[in-house]
Amino acid sequence: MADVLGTFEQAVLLSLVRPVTELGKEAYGRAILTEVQHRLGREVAAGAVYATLDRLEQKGLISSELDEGTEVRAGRPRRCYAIEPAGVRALNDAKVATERLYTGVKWPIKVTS
Amino acid sequence: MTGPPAERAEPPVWAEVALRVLLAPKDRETVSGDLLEEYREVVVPARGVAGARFWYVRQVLSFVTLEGVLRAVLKETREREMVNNPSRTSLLWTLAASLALVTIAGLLVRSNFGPPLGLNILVPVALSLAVAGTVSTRSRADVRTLWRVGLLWGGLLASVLLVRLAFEVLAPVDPVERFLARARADYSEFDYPRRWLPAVAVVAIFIGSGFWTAWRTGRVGRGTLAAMAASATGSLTYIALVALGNTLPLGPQDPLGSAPANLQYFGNIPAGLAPVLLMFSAVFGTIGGMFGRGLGAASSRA
Repeated sequence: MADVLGTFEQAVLLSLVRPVTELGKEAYGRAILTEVQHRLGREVAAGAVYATLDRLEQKGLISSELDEGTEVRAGRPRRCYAIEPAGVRALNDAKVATERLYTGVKWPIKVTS
Repeated sequence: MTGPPAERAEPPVWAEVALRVLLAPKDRETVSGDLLEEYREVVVPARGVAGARFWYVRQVLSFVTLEGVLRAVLKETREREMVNNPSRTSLLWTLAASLALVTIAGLLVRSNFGPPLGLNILVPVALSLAVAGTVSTRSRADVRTLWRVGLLWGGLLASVLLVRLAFEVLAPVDPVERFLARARADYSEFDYPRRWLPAVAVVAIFIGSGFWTAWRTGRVGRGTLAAMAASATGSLTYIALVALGNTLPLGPQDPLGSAPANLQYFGNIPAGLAPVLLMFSAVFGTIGGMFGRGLGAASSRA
């Protein structure tokens, strides 16, 4: 099994697999940023999302291709991302690893003195 | 006063330029387009122009990483320039190195050959150069090369320091005479070659080791590290030899006849010789590396 994904990486990959916002379905940088913020329930720095996308692409978990720009973005192209089979496997592994970690632990965890 | 409509609002120009500098070339159009789109469609209507500008600057700052800055300064520029215009790249490196040397020489003259810069400037500069050099070292083979360079040029450095020490021991300068000389209006450091010649030789060794390594590898950062390796091995060897010498009954007599010969007296070696030389080696090794990078590329094309 490859390295287990971090929480942020999982949020980015999940936003590509199961987007919940309308914009998120378009799967380009800004859409993923919005989707990740929605999933994590907090504001996220753009730099963190793009750095994660770059890292995931280098690992072969996602791929990207350029798309045409629109007027509101001054015609600058969009980079659209798609998850690769290796990315889906990594997400599944991460879920299994998290569940295994919590096996036998009663929820919610209470402080014992 | 009302600004332009949100769909035509522009983020601060300087922030957009900074963003482009920080990004890899392949991401410049797409990422800046994404931020512009968010800026116009969401942020300006929600926060107003002033708030949106603040938001944009915060986003740009989120792209500031050590890796990004180093890439922007060292790698991307170099690689792009190499592909696009190798002659210009060589010329720029050589000019930059010459400018750095002239600046240091000018500062030295202005300070009457005293220390022109304080440690509060030298330490961060040397540290930054060392970090940049470390980034350029990627394999064990690189480390082995640095080790070999360090031994070769470090041996030369130790030799220069030992020759200087020999002069100090065999023909010591009268401190009173030197004090009076410095008080004279026409005093010049150049009247005392034994003081400035070793310094010039040490600087030449640092520049030479940086030049030689960058010439062979095409990487300025490895030139920096090579000079630092030479400095570390040379100065530590020298200190070890002097310490060994002090244990033998060969030490010079103290002029006052009271204190035993020790590291502090033996050739006026300050205890901090190694770290001080290390900092200088980072600066001069980088300058040598810049020369080697520029002239090496030029010669390989010739």
